Amino acid sequence: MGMRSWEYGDERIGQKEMVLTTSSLMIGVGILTLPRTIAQATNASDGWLSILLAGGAAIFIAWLLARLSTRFRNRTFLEYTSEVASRPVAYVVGGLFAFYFLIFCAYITRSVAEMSKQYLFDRTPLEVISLCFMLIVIYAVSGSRTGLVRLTVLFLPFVFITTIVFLLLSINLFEVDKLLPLFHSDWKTILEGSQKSIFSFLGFEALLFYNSLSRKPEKTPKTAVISVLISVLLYVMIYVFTIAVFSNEVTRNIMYPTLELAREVSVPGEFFERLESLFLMFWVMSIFTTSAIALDVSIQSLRFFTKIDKKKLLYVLGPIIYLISMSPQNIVQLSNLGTLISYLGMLTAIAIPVLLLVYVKLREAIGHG
Amino acid sequence: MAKRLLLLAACFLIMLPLSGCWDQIELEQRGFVIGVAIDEGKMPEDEGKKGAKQSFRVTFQEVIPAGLRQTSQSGGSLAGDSYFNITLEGRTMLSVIAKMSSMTSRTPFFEHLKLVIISEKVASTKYGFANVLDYFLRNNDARRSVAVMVAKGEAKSVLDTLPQGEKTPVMFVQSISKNQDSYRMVPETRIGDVHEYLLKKESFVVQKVNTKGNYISLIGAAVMDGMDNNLVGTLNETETEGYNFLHEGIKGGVLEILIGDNLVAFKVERVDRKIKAVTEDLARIRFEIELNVEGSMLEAFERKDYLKDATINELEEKVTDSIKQLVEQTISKTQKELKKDVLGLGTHLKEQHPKVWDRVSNNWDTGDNYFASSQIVVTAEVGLRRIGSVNNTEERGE
Repeated sequence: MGMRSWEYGDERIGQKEMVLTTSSLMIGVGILTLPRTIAQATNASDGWLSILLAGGAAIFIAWLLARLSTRFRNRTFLEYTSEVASRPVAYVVGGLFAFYFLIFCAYITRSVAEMSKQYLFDRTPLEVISLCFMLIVIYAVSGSRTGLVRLTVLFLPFVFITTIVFLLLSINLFEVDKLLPLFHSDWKTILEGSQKSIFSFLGFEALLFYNSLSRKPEKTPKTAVISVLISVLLYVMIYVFTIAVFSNEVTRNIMYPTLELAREVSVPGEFFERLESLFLMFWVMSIFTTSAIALDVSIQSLRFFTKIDKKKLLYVLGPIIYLISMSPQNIVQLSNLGTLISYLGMLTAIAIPVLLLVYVKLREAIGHG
Repeated sequence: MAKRLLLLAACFLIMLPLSGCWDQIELEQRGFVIGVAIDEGKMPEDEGKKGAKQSFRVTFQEVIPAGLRQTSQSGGSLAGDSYFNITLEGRTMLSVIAKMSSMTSRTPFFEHLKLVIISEKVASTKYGFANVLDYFLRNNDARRSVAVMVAKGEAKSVLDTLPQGEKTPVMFVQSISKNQDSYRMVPETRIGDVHEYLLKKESFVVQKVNTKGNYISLIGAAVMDGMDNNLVGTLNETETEGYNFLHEGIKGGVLEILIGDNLVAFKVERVDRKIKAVTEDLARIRFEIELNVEGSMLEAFERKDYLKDATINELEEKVTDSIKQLVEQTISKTQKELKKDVLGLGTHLKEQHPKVWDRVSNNWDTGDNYFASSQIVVTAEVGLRRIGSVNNTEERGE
């Protein structure tokens, strides 16, 4: 009989889709704990400077990456790498990307399971929650890539809308005094905060892998800037609200400040209680797209090595991701894994593409000279 | 054919996990705990564990949903039908709750927890207050909006009173605590706010609940030390009133002043507070608190023409004096007697003068106690806006 699958008219995506896909890979589990880690590093509400600083850096790097990707002309990132910098280099880069996104996906799977266990499923074993989540992610990835992108386009606006609605609903708990004193942290702590928030911005490297699907690759630099800007704004808003509602001291002690903020919201009349389950639902959707895109990018990198069918690759990768996601024994080890990923991310998402761009530029300069 | 059979088998297989929802608890099997009262327990000291000195006697109030639903048509339900209390002893909240699960028919469920009452005795022990609240903050069933109160005497007795006009004692106490007009109690203390004070090491006040027979009153306030997190004193009726003027407290309140030989009652409608700190001399920081009070006269035993400017001015002056007097009492109690800054002056320094705060924060209301040696000057600006619907109720003959 065989599964019939939907074929899109064209396997191309527009700029709007690119923006949402890139933001979607960035907006995931990071922001749920971000207010805590930044509050720990900085004083009062000064952490928004850290976010802005890290965001500014992310925008610049994303723009560089996008500049690089305009040169691909419908070749994939790795094909392009092998052409400019030789095949062995492309193999190393591809291997790194495949590995990075694989553990990235595993980390997100575990994080969303931990979060769901704490807030939603008290007794359901963690193993089962992760397994269910992962099976759905695999199902999403096994289809068409443009289909995945379109799913993101469908989900992400809901995430934005709910977040903003929840922030507005918490406005009666918003105390401006808690934001004071402004600018009392020294630059060292602000920088420390930015360093901690970088991980929440990783994900813009998706540009490199989705640009080959783009209808107008030459417009990607602008797209990159917009998509990072979206998450910067969202993060700053969430951060300022958590501090104004909880104060810095409390924020640094709450495990998931963003979720706790949603729990504080109550609609007058006490008719609607437990509104946070709504917030969680949309947020899980956002995390779902994040991990699906991560897995997709990992698959794309692997496909550079071998022409094995995508679905067969998923059969192999599924258990590996699951095992990695189950390897941290507690919440501390999980956060250590997160730190490891953020360092690896700086290498793969920032260092490698930037080096490649510099190399290309240098070669051009020499070639012309 | 084989493929179809396989598909059919798969369909049946998929149905299996449907019955396996781990977290499913039927509504009828949940025991909704709405109030918790914590008293000191009498368990002997545990020899094995060194830290385990304290034990608690915890009373839970659970609602019986069926009792709540009854309407007055069925002859009016007795208050006793809609709730029950259960008291157990243990060293930690979790162990007490575990004990409770083995004694009630329903699984205890804290999603609808409204109130935690802590006895004076437990609150007075060093760190005791924070310790008993830890479970309710850590557990993600209970919300950060749960109200916290300190009970004079036994905490359990609050849950044993007969509620008037409400279904359960907890709902009764809670609806009192939310009354906006009662100037003799401090505003509702949320567990989330307590968490904030504890983390900031800031002294604070908590609503106090007193029981007398079957009556409950929330007059007064309990003063908690920010460093050791324990109860260090209480504010009485008038001191609480002064506190409400000084801190962003309950809006509203009544001041009785003498005009001639008769009383006039002034109803406070709005209080705005402005603080200015002069911080040249750390040993004598000067706080200038400016209160802008607005309100109306709602009762007068003195017959006078209240539509005259002069009368209004006289009233305003008298109210100003009476506010100053009230506030002085509160300041002398908190600053000179308890030496604990519950007025939020430290917070003002922290927010507006962070550099000064960095130098004094470790010795603010402990150690060198900069707070106690500071100078607090209060000025009040009173505006009498309305005099009610009549000028006078009678014409008094001389």
